[in-house]
Amino acid sequence: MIEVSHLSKIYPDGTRALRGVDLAFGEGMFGLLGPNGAGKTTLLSILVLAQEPSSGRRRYFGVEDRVAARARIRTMIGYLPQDFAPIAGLSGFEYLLYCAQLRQVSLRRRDLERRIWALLEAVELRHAAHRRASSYSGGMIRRLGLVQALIHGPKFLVVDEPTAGLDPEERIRFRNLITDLGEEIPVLLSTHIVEDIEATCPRIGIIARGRLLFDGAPGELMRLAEGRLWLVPEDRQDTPERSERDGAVKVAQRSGEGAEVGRAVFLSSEPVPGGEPLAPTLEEACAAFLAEAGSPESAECG
Amino acid sequence: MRLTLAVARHEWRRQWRTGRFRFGLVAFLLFCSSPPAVIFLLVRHVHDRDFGAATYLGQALVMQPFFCVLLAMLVAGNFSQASAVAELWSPLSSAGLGNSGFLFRRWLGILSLLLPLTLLPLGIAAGFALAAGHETFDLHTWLAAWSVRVLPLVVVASAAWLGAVTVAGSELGALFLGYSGLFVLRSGLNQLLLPYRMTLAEVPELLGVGEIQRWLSWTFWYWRSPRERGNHSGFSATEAPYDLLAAWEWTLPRLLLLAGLGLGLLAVASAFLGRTRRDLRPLEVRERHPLRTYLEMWNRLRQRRAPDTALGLLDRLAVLGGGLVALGALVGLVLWQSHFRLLAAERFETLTGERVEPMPPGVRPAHWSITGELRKSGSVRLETLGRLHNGGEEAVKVLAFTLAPELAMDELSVSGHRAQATRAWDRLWVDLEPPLAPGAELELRLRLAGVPEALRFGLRRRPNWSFVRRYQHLLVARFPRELVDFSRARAPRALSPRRIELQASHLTAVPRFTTWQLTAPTQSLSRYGQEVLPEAVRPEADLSLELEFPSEWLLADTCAHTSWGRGASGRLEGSCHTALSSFGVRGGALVAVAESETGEPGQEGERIAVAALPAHQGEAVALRASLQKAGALSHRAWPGRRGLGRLAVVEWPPPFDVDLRQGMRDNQYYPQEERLEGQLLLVPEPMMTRGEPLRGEDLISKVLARDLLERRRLAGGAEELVFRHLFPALMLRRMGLASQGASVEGVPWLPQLIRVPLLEAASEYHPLHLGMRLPAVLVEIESRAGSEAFYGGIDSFLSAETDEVGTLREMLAAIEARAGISLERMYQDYFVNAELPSLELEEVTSVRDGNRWRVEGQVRNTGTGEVICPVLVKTDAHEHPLRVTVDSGAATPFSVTTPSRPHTVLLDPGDTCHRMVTSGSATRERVDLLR
Repeated sequence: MIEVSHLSKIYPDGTRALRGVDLAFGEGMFGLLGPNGAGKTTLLSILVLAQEPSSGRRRYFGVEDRVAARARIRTMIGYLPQDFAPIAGLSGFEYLLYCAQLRQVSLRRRDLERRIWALLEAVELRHAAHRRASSYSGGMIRRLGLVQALIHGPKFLVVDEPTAGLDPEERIRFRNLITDLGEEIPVLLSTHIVEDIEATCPRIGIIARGRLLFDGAPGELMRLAEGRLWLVPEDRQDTPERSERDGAVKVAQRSGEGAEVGRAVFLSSEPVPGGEPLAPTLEEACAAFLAEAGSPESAECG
Repeated sequence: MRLTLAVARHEWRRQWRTGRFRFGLVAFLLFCSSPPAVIFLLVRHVHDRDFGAATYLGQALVMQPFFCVLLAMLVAGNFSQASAVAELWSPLSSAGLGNSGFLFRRWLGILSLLLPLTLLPLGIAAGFALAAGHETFDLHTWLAAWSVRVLPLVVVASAAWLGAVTVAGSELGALFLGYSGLFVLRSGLNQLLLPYRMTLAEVPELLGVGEIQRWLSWTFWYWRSPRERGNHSGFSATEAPYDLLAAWEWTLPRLLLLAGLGLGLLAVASAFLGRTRRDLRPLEVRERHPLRTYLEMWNRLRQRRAPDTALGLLDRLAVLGGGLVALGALVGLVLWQSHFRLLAAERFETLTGERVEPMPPGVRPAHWSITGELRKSGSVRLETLGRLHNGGEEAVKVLAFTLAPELAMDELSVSGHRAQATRAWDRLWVDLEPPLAPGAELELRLRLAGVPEALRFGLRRRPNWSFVRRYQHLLVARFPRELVDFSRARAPRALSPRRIELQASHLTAVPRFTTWQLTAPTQSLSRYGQEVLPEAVRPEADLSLELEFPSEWLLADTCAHTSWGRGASGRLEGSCHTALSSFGVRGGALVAVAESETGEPGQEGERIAVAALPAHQGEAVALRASLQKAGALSHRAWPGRRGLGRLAVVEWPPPFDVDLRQGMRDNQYYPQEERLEGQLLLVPEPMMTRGEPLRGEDLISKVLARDLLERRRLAGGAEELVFRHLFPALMLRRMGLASQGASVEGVPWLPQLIRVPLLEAASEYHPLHLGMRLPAVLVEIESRAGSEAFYGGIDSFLSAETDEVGTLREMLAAIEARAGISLERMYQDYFVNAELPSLELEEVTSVRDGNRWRVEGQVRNTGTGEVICPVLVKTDAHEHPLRVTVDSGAATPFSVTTPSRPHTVLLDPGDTCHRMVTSGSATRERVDLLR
């Protein structure tokens, strides 16, 4: 179980990035959503020990975070950063071997190599194991990154924007990989692609303005929005995009197909004139949630 | 360990795969490290001397230090740049390894790559040496040299550069950080140390840049003109064993601060590995701030290079440890400096102290015996038994001696007297109770122990100044640059495997008869400050010596006793009648070649023992034969000359850090010429490898010249130096072995250099004039006076029974008296003034007048000074010699009438008149009349 409580982070320039975040997750996949600047990256950095909180506690599988326990805690963490880059000049296999050795994996060389091959097999990189990593495609690099995050057998995995910039096919493949992993160890997935979270995470958290506003199942989030979202044909005069109409707040937009006019999603307890009730997607539910929580200007999940 | 090996393997793999590394390595091996050794291999045949394997080592080490540091920086800086930090982050993010642990292991990995690479150029040079068939190859010497000259530099440079690049984020930043850090740090520390009269000197000497410059200029000079390179082989390397202790003593003070900073920087870099995000408040810069651009840049740098947050305990300890290491190095350096500064202060206080009374003049040493043991560690244990006689008319209360300050006096006793010793630096006074009565004798027993040293304070600035004046200058210094970094002072052992140089005061307490009173500034010999005059009174005593020493050393003393501890410990023993203050023991890891005996049957000859470094054994054998021949020749050439008894000729290796091409060390001159100490002739190592083999007659002439010099008390100062150079040349002439004529060549690129009065040249000790012009002048004197009058005049000058000091002018007068000529003008022109004639034949014609021919012409002196020079007119049947006198700038006509057809006119065909010649002179001094 990874637990953080009352986690706050105030940057030296006064920016309050986190305001008393409480979070605990111990199994399966946990998706983290939130608009830009909400504090997602700060939270992940603090979770992987890359940054210090201003206040609050961190606890990893019963181990309290202290300077003396850092080395031990680090070995529990598997982390795939957003800007992952393998070491130029090394092959994928050599790179993984080096990662494993640096993390002092207590396996004999042959067993370690066997583990690397197995992981490469799992991420379908076996065929490129001895190629220079610098010649890998974006998807292959992400998969390699996933292996390096797992090579030392971490107790939980933190994945930051793993599918950004990947083509759809590669994205789905990567998503499936993470889903499989989530069945074995807790995975914290942060992404701006809500669809990925919807497809993989049984539990999500929404963070905005440094606060964890929601922590529950996606269905629960969608239930909160049920009967309160309305689809209205888009009025081309509506500028700016987010606007209010008869007390309703525009939270999202669905583009029209072909010549069809696009339609806007409005949040309102009352029916919106010209609007029809909407069965929301997770993204729309999230946007509605954020709008309702008082962040209409940044009501984008991801 | 496994982790360290893994990091090292990674370092190897990664480096080999970068073009930068491959290119850098190839450049390092091909262009940077081995060229001196390669060039030596190519040119050694030009100087066909007995070079040994260590000469290859010396050549290989010319460029090694500098380029090894560059290689270390190239490798250590390779993967520490900003882009590489991003790559490193992922492997490290989940490693239980601390920042310091990783950096330390990476440094070890870099060293595991670098150290074998730095051995490669030496390996190449060693290959050359072995291929050339040198049997004296000593792996220990090679490794010792590498371990001092290369290893510490690579270790420090890689640590410092890895640390600096990690902290600064880029190599450019690291360069800025390193340079400004060192500059600011040194300046700041020097200001702090100023009140304590200490300063920290710069450290670039370690890189050997000066040595590279000298090597480059020598190489250029070597190929440009073989004539200009002269007789010196030009290879600044010694075959003497490597003195590891002296090398470290030289290196450590120069390295200490760099090592402290380097290791400290590496440790501090633990906080800058970039493993955590920066947590720094950015500076707010106003829109219209005048320094906006600069402040924004500073802002970015701060944010990029702020330390990591929440370092682990080990990392914090590493940072703290790094700081302590740097501080420790600094403190060590200051303590080191302080130690030598106190010694210098002690010496100054002694020199300027009031207690200066010497041994009373009536006291004379009668018999002196020195026994003891010299140890490989450099220490000695000695016992002296000396008998002193009071020949004066007053009772003597205090005896005065000179004794090396580093020797402890374990026992002092005087027979029949209570003795109270007082020591101040190298002075020892023994108060006697009761005083030594006139005509009485006493026996002095001394037991000494310690490590004899040749302390050098390294007061580099104004080397001509006396110690007292330089130290006084330090006392009133206002700026750090006026001070001296005393940590550069050294106390090399007088007993080392490289060479043994024991002065009399290293062996015993030497009676001191000359006052220790400082000279008045105007009376000072050097004209550069007050000083204590060297011992001038040198009464002789019976000296017996018995010294045990370790195996493989060869020892020789100034009485020419020699002993070689071949395969077992040696014993130098013997007795002689000598001046105690001139006594000394020299030696080293030398080998002896068999002694030879010279002299005609029935005459007293010389027993000549020759010892040399093993690598120069072949040269030594040839030298011994040459000495034997020259000794015999001298007996024939100078009948009735005194036999010189035993003579030891010993090759004399240079001290540790001397540049053999320059012959300098700490502004002390390492002689490039032989040195005669009693019956011991020390031959500097470069002489053994000169372009032309060493000639025994040159050495014998020096020994015999010393004998001549001792026949009569001669004038001091510049005249003394002239005499010292004049008599060997005279001996060579008398043996018929002088190859030089009366003409001299100017230095091609500085022809005016030769135009210096000989007495002035002597006072400045200029070998060009004393070695080249003086023998040339002798040729003219002999030519004008005739050999009989010339040598007879000198004999009568030397054997004159008078208390008057002999002068040069007096010697010339003695020749004048016998020859009936005047040499006054020559003395004025060449010795007192800077005159030097330069002659040419002009307007030479040949006219037939009936059955006779008339040859006319003139000799023009385009130089200065009067010259009396022969002209020879050659005809088909006869030769007509003439003698013309030509003054400065004048032309003197000559004319010859001859019955046979003239064909050639020659100016000074026997090269007997002193003048300057140039490369074009030959055509101006010969006229072919038939052309």
